[in-house]
Amino acid sequence: MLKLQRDVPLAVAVIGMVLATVGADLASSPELALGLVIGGSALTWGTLLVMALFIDDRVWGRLMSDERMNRITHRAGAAAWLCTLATLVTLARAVDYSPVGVSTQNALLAAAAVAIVAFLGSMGYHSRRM
Amino acid sequence: MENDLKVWRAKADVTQAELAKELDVARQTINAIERGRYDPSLELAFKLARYFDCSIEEIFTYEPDDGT
Repeated sequence: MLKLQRDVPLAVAVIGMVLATVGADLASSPELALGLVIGGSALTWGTLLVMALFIDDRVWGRLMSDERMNRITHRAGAAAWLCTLATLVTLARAVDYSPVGVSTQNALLAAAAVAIVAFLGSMGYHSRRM
Repeated sequence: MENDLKVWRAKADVTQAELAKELDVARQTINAIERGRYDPSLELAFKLARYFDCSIEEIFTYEPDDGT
């Protein structure tokens, strides 16, 4: 198994997200902004994919630090994923039919917010129950 | 699933933290097992039994709800 500093991969994934969001907003040109969005996203998704497929559980840090946390994290991840899908389905129609108008960007941000809240909420709930 | 882990741990005079470190799990996991909130994997159950030099059945007891 690879021996990586425990939280480095998660930190790299977060840096990728920051580059793709804040970095793009601060970019001096549209071309650079697009490059940061694509590059940052690729860094994040690539890191997460490698973590998921090829590296020991310990690289996920506290999230999978032992079998109980592993079970809690998987439940929270499943809950967050399904909540996000449900939200996306709802918003996909609401964007068309809402009289006040919902922009696609806001709909996507809402789905991301649901994902984060569902994951953290589920982690907190199961940590207390299990 | 019920267990006497707390009793076995007291007999061995080890703390939750010491046992957790020995078995490579978090202290919270040992605490959750003792409180009956978490059923451990078969691997961890074997590790516990070997640590206390007893059988799994001496630590864990399974009573089905329907009495079968």
